[in-house]
Amino acid sequence: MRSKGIRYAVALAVALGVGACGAQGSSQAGAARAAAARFLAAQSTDPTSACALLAPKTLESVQQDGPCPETLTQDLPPQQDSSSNPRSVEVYGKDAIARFEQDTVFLSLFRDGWRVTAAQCQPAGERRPYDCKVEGK
Amino acid sequence: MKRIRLHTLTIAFTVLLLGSLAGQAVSGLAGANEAALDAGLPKLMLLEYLTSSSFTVDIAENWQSEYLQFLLYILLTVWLVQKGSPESKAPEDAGRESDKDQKVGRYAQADSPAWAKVDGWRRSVYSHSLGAVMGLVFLGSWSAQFVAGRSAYNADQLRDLQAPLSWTQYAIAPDFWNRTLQNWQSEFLAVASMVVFSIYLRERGSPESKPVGEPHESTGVGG
Repeated sequence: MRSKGIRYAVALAVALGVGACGAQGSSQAGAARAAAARFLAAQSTDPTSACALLAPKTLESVQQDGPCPETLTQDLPPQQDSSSNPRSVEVYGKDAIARFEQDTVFLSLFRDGWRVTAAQCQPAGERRPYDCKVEGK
Repeated sequence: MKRIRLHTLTIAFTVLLLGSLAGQAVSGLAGANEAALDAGLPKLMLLEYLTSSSFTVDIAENWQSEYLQFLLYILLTVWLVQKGSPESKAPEDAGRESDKDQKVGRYAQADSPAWAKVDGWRRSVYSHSLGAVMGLVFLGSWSAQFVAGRSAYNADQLRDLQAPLSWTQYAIAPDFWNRTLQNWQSEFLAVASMVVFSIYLRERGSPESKPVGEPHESTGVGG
């Protein structure tokens, strides 16, 4: 009875540990990084592919202003470095943020992989949401 | 069957624990999926939710406060007293008590735990094992609350297109301390209520209550 109780307690502690630490998403960081880099590269070279990487709600919002490939590249800064990898990627559960030299991209994990929920984002001050040209409204 | 009858208290509370955990999982999953739907994100499956930081922090923040309550209750009742409460020792017994009262060393009985009979570090460790384990579980679950809480908070931050918090930022964040303190206050309220109510109120047959006819002034007497 006592050894069974110890086994259950250990199993529960492991489960709590998995939930506490595993949710950090270290295994997903690489996939989020790749999706963000792919999106950033495609924005200026292949906007149609970039649009395919948008989350459904974000794509819907972008299409309200016209065809996605056109809207996505509308105000894209000319100095955008499309071959950059993100400086940093942080993953929390099924949400991620990828910071590039001149851009920040927010992503969420869907059944078919990471998708961009907001892009062309710039910090708007401490404790304020990023100012994003591409986002789901 | 006879063996089960001797463990009905543990069995009952374990069943209640598992039932309420299951209920929390189902209701928590429903709440998480409502939020996901609003944000245009995919719904979570049950296993995904059970291993999420959101579920973990909701469990851990409650557990840490329960074990803190037990830890403080166990330790403070060594020295602090409440006249009239069955939750308290008699005032003249405040402190660690004598070896004779504690049945250790040469005062141990034949069926006393093994480490109560011996001298040295073993008796010392065993003498504080209850508080130590409660303290360890408290620290472990509070740490789990901290780690999972930061992850859950930062996931919400990202959905709101805000920057996530670093470890040191989260350690002083209102979210961490609000979760911590709202749980602590209820635990301390529960103990204080029990200590005071049990002076004047009775529940016949419960060892947590004084006998129905026991005077209000009697201290440390259970039912």
